[in-house]
Amino acid sequence: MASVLEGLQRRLELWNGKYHYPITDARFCVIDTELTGLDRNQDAIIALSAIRMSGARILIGETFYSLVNPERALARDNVLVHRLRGDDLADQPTIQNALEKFAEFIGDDVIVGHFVQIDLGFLKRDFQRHLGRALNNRWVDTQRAHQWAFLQEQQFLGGYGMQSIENTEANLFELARRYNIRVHGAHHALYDAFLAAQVWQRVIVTLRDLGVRRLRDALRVAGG
Amino acid sequence: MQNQPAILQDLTVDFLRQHYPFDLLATPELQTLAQSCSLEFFPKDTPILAQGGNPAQSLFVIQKGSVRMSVLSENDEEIIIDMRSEGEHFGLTSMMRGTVTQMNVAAVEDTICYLFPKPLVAQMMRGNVEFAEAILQASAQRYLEKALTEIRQGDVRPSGERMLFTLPVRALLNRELVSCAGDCTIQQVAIKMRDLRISSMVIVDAHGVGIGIVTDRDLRSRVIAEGMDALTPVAAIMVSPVISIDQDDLAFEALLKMLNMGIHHLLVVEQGKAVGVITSTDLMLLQGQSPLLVAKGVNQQNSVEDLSVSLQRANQIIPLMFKEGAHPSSIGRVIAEINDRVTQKLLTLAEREFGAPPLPYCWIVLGSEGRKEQTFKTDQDNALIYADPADDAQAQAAREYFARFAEWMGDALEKCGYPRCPGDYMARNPKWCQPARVWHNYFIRWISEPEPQQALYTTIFFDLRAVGPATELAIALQDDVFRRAKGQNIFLAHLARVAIGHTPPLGFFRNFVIEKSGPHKHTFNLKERGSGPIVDLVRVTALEHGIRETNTIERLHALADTGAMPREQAEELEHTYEFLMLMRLRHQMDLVSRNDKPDNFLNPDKITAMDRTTLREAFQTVARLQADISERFMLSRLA
Repeated sequence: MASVLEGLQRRLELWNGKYHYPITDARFCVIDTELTGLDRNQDAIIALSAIRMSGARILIGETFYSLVNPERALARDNVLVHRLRGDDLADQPTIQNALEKFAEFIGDDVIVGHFVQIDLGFLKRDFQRHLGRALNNRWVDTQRAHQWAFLQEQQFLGGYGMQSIENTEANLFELARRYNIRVHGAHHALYDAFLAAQVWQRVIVTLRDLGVRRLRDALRVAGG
Repeated sequence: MQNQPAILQDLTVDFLRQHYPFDLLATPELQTLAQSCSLEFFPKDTPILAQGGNPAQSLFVIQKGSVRMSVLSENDEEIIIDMRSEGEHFGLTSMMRGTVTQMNVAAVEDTICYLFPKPLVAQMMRGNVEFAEAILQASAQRYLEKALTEIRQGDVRPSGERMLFTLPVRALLNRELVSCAGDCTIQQVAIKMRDLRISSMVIVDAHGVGIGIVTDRDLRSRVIAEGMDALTPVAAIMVSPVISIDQDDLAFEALLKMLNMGIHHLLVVEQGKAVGVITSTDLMLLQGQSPLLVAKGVNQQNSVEDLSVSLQRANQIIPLMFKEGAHPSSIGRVIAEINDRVTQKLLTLAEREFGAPPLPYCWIVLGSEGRKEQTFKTDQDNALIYADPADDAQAQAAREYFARFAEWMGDALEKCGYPRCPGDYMARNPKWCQPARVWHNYFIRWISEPEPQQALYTTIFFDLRAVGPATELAIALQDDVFRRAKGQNIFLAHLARVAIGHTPPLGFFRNFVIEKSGPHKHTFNLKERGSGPIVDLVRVTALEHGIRETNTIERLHALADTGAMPREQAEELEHTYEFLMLMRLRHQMDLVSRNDKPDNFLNPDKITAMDRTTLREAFQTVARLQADISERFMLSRLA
């Protein structure tokens, strides 16, 4: 019951004046996590990263990065993706320690990420489990924002019979390529967050061109 | 905090380290900068700073993309001042002055900038004098900075373009050393520099060893600004010791030396003895699409096809030189140099094709090419002169050989991008492919029995220039022509009539429009009514005084030097001519950049108020000179 009320309240906040300010005045934290797998019942976070943005500006000096000791053996597949081995993580902080610092870093900034609901799922679980509280930050998904903008354009173009057959879903690297963003190193949580931050810079421009200038509207079309 | 690699800061530090002048900062300083900077994205065409707007709060360093810096003139025309790209910075003066911004800066393409907050940049500048001086330095040095950046990044270019790294300094010397002794007066030095049009003078001792150098900048800052007596020995103001470089060192080392010492001139020495001076401009020309490079490319080609490919680059030279601030007359000379090399190469290829020629011959070019005043590629205007045959059999052989030869040359030049001349002034026309004797007769007839129609079309032959190989044939012809033309008043009067045939559009500034209909409505012909009359007028005057230069500017210099024309008038004409050529070139570049064919039709509404005023003065100068000439040759009586 409480959660239903909370959800309602969150939605109501979008109607009152609370987020009725320009996107460029918002403070964002672009985040990325690395996980042992996608199953929320058994997998764990092994790296956490965040980069602060002031509106559309990426603050190069304000970054957070921590590896996490998952306190369990890593599946082989993921070792290949992240190049993180169990031994590397044995000396790292526990999830509780890492999360405390992470929570302190992000404060109540709006969380941004690519397919960020996956990261949020694990973060919300671990906030409850290890910090004993909910993670209630507002969030925007760059993938959803991109997809929304794309569909708006499709509808527009459709009116002229010019629908493109381009796939609407795009992973971070595809988007980076499309936006002509230089990729420095993949599958390191902080580099990936940096990439997502740069994608977010471009998406902000696209949203602006489509009339989405206020944080409230961005949260509506691509977040929560 | 553990586990917090500063990888984004490290990326920033790495980036800054690759770009001058940030590379002058120590690693901790760079880290401090990186710690407080932000990264902002500016989509194409976004204004970043606005003229008259608030001052910049940060220094902008372009991480990717490029920006255009411009100001609005009083009648709201955008004048582009500069373009900056990756690794370059902007906003410094706006930020430092803290008053309103003085120019517009906008993203030319999607651009990413690092923003460094004002207090931090100020702190860096206070703490590191070298950095402060470097970042404040005038943008004239940006070329060199750019070059060095490329070197640092190990920018690998195709082998032909790495001339900086392969060319010895001596290859860049383009004139003999001009030097003087230390006891010459400042005034003597200044006069010599002016007359020889050089920007520096080397002071040598009795053994020819350079002991100092004086540049035009020194004359300004050390003599004029200080109110120093011009009769002081030059040794008092020369910069000494002079920085020198061995003639066998690489161009790249010269560049480094200039950069390191913050100077623009280097003395070139051979075993300690001064042999010449190179300037930063010489090195600048080596960068990218430099004319020298194209010329070198030409020499390396061994077929017409390869040659035409290597020449495609030549079209990019004009905008490049223009951007680097070259005078139109220098551009013309460089283009002539390239065209000559192409022609010389083709001549050797033709000789290979047809075997050794039966008689010595010389390829000559006419009209604007003869005057070295060509800009964008124009038609072929050429002719061929060969030695007089000894007998009929040889005459027959020569006629046949050179007919095929000239035919082949015409085709080859066309393949290389020089269209055929619609008036058929080409060596492939039998009339213009003749032995020396016939050529002499042509000129004798043109000079002694001038006809109005002939005067019109023969003018281009009076601007002939030898390309080779047997240049003595052309020189003998010219000697003869100039000797005969001098004092031939009727002939000169005919040429003078040509020269006043097109009047400048004096009324255009009062909204008189010259071409009232047709495709060039509302425009006027910049060549026909501006630069053309000057060329014609100067030609008449030069022929009148037996001056054998063909280039208009050189003719003017010679006229002034021999006293045939007052120096002030010659200089006024020179500036007027340069200005008209500049306008023409800019107009043509504009057309070419939009993929249009270059023409000479300028719309007076589309130029700035200042250009209009200058243009009006230029036309007045032309009109005055036309009136002079008309009076001198009493043209009213001739009619």
